[in-house]
Amino acid sequence: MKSIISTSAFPVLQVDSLRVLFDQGRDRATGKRRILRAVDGISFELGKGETLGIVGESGCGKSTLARAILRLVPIASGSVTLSLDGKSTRVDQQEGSSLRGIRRHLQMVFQDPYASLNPRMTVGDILAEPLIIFNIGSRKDRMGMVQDLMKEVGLDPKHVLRYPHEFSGGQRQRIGIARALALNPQVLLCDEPVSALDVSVRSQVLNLLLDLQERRGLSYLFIAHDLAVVKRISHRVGVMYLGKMVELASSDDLYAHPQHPYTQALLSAIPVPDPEIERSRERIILSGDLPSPSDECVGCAFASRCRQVMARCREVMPILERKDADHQVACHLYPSESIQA
Amino acid sequence: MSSSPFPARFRRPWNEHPLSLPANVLWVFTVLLATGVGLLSDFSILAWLAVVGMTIAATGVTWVVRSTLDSPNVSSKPSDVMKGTSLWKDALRRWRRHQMATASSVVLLTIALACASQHALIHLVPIAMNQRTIDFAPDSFFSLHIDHTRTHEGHTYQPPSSRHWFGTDSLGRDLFARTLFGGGISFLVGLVGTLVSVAIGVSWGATAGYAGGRIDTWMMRAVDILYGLPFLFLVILIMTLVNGLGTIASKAEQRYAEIEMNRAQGDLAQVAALEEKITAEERTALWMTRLFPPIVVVFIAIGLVSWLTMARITRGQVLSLREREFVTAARAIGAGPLRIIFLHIVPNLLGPVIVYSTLTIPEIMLSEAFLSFIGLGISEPSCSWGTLASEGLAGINVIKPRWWLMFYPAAALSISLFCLNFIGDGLRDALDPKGDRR
Amino acid sequence: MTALLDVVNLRTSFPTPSGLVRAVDGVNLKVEPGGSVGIVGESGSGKSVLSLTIMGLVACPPAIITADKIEFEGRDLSHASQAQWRGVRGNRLAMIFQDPMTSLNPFLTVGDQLAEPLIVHRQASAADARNKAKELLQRVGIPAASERLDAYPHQFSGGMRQRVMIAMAMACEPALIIADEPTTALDVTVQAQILDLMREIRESAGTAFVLITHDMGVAAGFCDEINVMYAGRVVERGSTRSIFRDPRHPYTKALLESVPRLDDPPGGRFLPIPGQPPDLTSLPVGCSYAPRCRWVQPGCLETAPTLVPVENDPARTKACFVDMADPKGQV
Repeated sequence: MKSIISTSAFPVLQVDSLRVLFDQGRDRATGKRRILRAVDGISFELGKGETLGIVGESGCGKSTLARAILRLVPIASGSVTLSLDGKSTRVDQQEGSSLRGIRRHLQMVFQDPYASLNPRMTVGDILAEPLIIFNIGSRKDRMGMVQDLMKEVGLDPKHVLRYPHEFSGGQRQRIGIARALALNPQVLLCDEPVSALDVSVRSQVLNLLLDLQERRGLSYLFIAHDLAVVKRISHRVGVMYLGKMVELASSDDLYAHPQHPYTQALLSAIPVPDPEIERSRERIILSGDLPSPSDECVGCAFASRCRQVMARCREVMPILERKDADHQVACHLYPSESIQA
Repeated sequence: MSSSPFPARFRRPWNEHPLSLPANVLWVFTVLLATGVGLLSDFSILAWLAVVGMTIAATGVTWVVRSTLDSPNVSSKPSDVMKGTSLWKDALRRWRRHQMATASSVVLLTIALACASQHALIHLVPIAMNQRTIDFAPDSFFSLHIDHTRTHEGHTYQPPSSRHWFGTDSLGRDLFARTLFGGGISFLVGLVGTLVSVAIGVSWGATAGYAGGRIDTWMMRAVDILYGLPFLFLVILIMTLVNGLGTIASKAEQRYAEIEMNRAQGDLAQVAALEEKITAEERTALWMTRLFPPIVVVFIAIGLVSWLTMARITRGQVLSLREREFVTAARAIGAGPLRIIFLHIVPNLLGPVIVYSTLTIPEIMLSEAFLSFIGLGISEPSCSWGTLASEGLAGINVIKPRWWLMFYPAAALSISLFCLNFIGDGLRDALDPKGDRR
Repeated sequence: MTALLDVVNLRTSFPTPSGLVRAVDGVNLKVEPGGSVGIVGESGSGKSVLSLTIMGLVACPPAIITADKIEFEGRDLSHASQAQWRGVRGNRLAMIFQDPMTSLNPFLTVGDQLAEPLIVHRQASAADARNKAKELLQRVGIPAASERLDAYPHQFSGGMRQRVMIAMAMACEPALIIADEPTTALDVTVQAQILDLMREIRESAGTAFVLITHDMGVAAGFCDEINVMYAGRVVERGSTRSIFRDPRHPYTKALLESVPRLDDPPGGRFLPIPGQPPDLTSLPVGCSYAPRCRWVQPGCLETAPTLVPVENDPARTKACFVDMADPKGQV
């Protein structure tokens, strides 16, 4: 059975109050600068060999979080630390060639396997590119490495000279995973790796990710909007809402005892493929839509849709606090012991 | 080659094919014979027929070889790697299905080859003192159908006949030869003008698109302003300035000729006096006209004003490609900006650029024809389809309708433009498989 | 018992350079008044083409459509002219599309778009249509409906736009609404709202629904009858309860197993369906699921099974030779 690895013992990746802001120009009506807080003070640790699931609805900043960790979008404040073999490196302070060096250890799998592969390059070229950039091996070595990679992700090495459009969606995502693995990274950021795939191939790709984790001891930051998939694959799960982490807990705990009203609503909104359960279970239907992340908001971001909203929620922004050993939640319904004490 | 009319048992790979060697040999001999016939002697029409016959034979054999060629991945030797079909190959397959485009390319290629061979033959026979060094008999094929400069007093304004296929002009020059020569010039202007416009447009647009932000804004505002200026007005302005320079330069040239004459006679005082007279203005004009002969000026003038749309197209493409996920993916594996531009953006940019270029060539040929028509651009004794048509127009009158003067060059121009447009259309369909594949 | 919609042996194919694509290959479909039928399948299974064909929205050249019968409210539509189609479409037969972002005209106000079917089909006056449009917006739960009438689609969020689409479909009180993946483009919390709204409409107005989806969970909660499609054919049909409790077709069974569920225990591996979805231009001779099937038998590769009633349950049909209760060929 799965064991929860103590996260503080071997954190490979530490993210501390990370902020990503996008300037959206001036508002025509008010003349004020509109700042979109895509990621607003996110902190977490990712242990070696661990999978941390990040769930949330579209626009909650989960994809931006992955891109910010990889420095593909500029970071406004906060720190990202990568610890390998006892050495820690501040990812957010690297520039130029040392940033490239970081990318050997930190890689990403993209959501859309149709858009994330250059249509004019063969699979061999796509997989060899990271090796060429980091000057690994001779031409002949690289050919061998590419074929090994293809075998590892379950592709036929005979297809090395084919182009991405000649593969199906699931196979393309395998190419994307192979490209991320080419540099033998420690941490893989998976940005919705299966949501663009057909239902019947999803499980194939997810199993591949599980196999690779076992074989290579990879750590995953697994971003998805499908809570059922995240439940199976993750050791711990974080729930994001409008750029903030509202709940972070071990997978068992979060799904069994969701604390935050948003998590509760999210879980109850997911249909279960079983007519009896689906028709009898109690559902929490949230009213309204996601507010715009560029709106200024003093209190809790979820206050506008929360069923258990209190006066305090609209005034004070709750912070993510430890409820028990592996359960953190940002909600005024659960005042932390430390404050009461 | 699924459409091969031959049964599968005739299929052979290239290196085992019984006809592959004969096809190559036939082609080499055809080229040798053609050069020989063109160069050496006062040849009869029979020699030319032989060349044509050999070309047809070589084409036929090549066609047979191509249709019975076995593709390498199903050849007798099993290969351990399967070849993929790139998007380019895919596009080529789709383009072959486009019948108008394929037919057009054959027609255009024929016209272009004819023009090119006329130019080649003319330049192979050197001219000294306005006289060809090899004297061809007046009735030879070369004199009648290739030499576009040979005048003949007795044969002015001949209508089309078996002797002069397209008739003759006011100086008795053969119009067939002149149409071929003019076509060469027109194609050259079209190609070089397009190259100039692609070079400027693509680099301008790509820089603006990739840099983004303020640089992009300013660079594209410049394009907008240039768009606002009337295009032909600009060209006409440039051409008029150049023609003015040409007048000054020719005056200067006369003076230099006089100086040379005096120097040869030993009249040094006169030389000095004449040299005094040459102004700095005349000197620059002469230098500039030597640097930029009129035809080059036409290239530059047209290219300079036709890069704007290319720049806009390129910028739009780069902007959208820059946001594509595979570019982000390339950044994630540590690729630098140069690698991203040349490996990830440019190859995906080529499709639209190629399509637009094929549509720019006819546009530029047409502007050149128009410029020549109104008396700017190419000047005598050189000619283009535009100048030929304008001369033809002058030659037309009600009493003696010398229609051939206008008809042949204009028809050649129209057919070429038609073909180019069809090819461009075919390429656009082929390179932009909407919904065909993602 | 007269069915509201009765489709018999519908085939829709598209000629392409690489061969004829049989998107819908002999499908029968029957919808009772007030019923709700789910069509479940992966992308490429032909479920969307099926719905568009029933709506008469597939352009007939290039597509080739044949059907023994397309009967809607007792009228045969299989040979209907475009004018006849227009009289039915949007009136008694309405559709909700997948992408609420692109299926509304950005240049017209929401009120104008809602009034359009009323003016076309009911010859309503502009004022009446506007009043009705306001009612409709209230009906689908849009707050401040009278002000929102003059808003443009881009001023609505995704969920609100899908509500507007539903209101448009509801405008002429149709007997049947075909919903083609109505919640796929939406977030889960909004999806729950929309499904709730559709359920409520079905109960109060008695409108029949055909729900097309790839999400087994959505179908389980909404539909009474489910058709599972694979490679252009219906492979299994039955009541929702029986299909989920006791799937008889190997594909249905594998699909249900492969989808991770929220009530699964955490951890453990996923149960995938091996292989790739079929290429519609080169389908195998026999059963098109045979190459991926766990229970495949030699006979499956030679003849394609037809939809026949399940042995001990005549209300259910499946297209499979293997009796999964006693699979002899199980590996």
